[in-house]
Amino acid sequence: MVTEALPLQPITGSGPWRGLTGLTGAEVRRWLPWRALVMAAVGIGVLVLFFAIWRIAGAEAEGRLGVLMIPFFSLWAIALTLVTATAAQGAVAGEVDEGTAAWLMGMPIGRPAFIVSKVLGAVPGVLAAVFGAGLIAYPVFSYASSVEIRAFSARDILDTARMPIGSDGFMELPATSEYLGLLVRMSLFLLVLVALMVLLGAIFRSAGMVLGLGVVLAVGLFVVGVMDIAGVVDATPAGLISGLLDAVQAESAPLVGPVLVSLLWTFGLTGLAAVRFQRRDL
Amino acid sequence: MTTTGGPIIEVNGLYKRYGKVEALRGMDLMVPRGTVFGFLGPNGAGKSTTMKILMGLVNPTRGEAFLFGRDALHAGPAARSRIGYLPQDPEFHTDRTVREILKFAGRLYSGGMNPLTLRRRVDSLIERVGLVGKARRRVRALSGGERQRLGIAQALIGEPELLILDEPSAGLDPRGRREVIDLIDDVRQHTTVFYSTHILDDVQRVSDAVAVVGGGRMLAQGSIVEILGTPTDTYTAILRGEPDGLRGRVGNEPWVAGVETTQRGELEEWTVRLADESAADRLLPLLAGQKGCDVIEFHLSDRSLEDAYLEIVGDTHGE
Repeated sequence: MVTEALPLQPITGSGPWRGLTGLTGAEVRRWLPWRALVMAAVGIGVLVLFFAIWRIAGAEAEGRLGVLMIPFFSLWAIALTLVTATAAQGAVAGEVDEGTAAWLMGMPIGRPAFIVSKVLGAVPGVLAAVFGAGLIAYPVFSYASSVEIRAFSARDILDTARMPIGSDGFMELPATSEYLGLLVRMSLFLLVLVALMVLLGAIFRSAGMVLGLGVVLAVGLFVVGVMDIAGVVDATPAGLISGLLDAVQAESAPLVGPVLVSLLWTFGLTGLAAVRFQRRDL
Repeated sequence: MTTTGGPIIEVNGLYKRYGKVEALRGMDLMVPRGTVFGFLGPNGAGKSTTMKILMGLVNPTRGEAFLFGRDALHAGPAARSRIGYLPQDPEFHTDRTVREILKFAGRLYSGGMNPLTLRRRVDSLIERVGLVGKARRRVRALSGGERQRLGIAQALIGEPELLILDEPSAGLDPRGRREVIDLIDDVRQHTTVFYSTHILDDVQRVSDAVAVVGGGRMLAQGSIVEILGTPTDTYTAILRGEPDGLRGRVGNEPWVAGVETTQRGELEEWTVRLADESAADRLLPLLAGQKGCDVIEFHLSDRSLEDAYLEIVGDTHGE
């Protein structure tokens, strides 16, 4: 068979972001409403548990917000980390394993768009879950501390120094702005975790391996954050955990630095995932 | 549609290794624009791997591939927007409905297509592939054949210049298989179709050209006529009656490689393969010279695509 040869030339305009909007929309629908509801329900469940304990303690716990708030945030953060890691484990590894990634990449979709959509699409769900449960918890803390909810003020943002918690559990209710900052820290930590799971999914095919490694690394960040290891905390998302614990205990905790560091880590992990996924066989 | 304008697909010396398994071992391929091109070969011959490399889903170990005259290995979404692809065993997000899948895919291809036009196109394709009544059904509730139909509709949603279909008839009942062939026949006016299948009757019916691959490399490529060729060593004879021992005598001739006979009513069809083509002029006198035996027909045997395929593939199975 004779066919006329065509001069070969490199293709241009490959559009790595093509399909980002559609994929992100689809991913948002995966997180909202059900995953977010489950995550929020976990928070509310933990709140109910510790509120019940606080109530049972009766007069001994009266006005001692620390007895309720510190255990709540500690367990909530750990539970949300596990739930988020489980929810995000299949974001890439699952799609590759089930063959849906091959279906998507057979259409005019850029591989970077696929990866970025996995992180972007998780943002509304994570925010809804953290702020949903967190904002339900705040009036409960107000009730427990016998302190009225303070109105938002610009001064609250600047004045991050709170009365330190005493060994007797007495502490002041965080101002709304500080409390929102606390929820922002929690949300950002979960988004870093999502990006980490996406990167692991771009490297490993087994969803079990992705989940296992993701949880181990997240726990490692927790430990670094709790131990407040200087230098490491400042340079990693562990600063969010460290700041979260400080803020819960109404101590001074910087917000801007850890937020920027965490955003950089989220971008970095997502970028690495995109590079790795670019050459992955599907 | 003519076949001018050069090849729409060109593959040169493509190798692909999965661990210790060599899926492709120097695959070459050229698919002319405007053809319906059958891609044939036994299981594990490298058909799906070649298609996946063309779609950018799999990276070759070495070699080159071109789509629309441009490097396919770095083609990206721009090239894929001109292609409709049906993978083997297509998988979709199972929590979406048939209509949602097609609308999602349609938006990726259509760019600025207005919603009404897209909806009409989706409706038309749902009807075309026989999924009317299943449009609101979630993918997880579809049968294997219905998923295959959805995959075909999704491959067509962008009105592609090139359709790459990996075993489009797999999992379909005979009626579905017929519909796929009719569909390929319909779109050939404006689309080049490159498809793999094991159903050789369908290929012979609808294809302009075929490639036969085996062991990860090209074994033969050409038009159907070229692939079928004209056998010069096999003759068919229709005989009425048979003197005792004729079959033995013919079979014992040193220039005869084999004899097969099939009873058809009172007639007997003989297929005689010669070891020496130049001995053909000795066969007819041998048959006709026997008392009690009339030769009703005598001619060179016609070959089916299946015969040609089996001959080409030979013992490359399992390589």
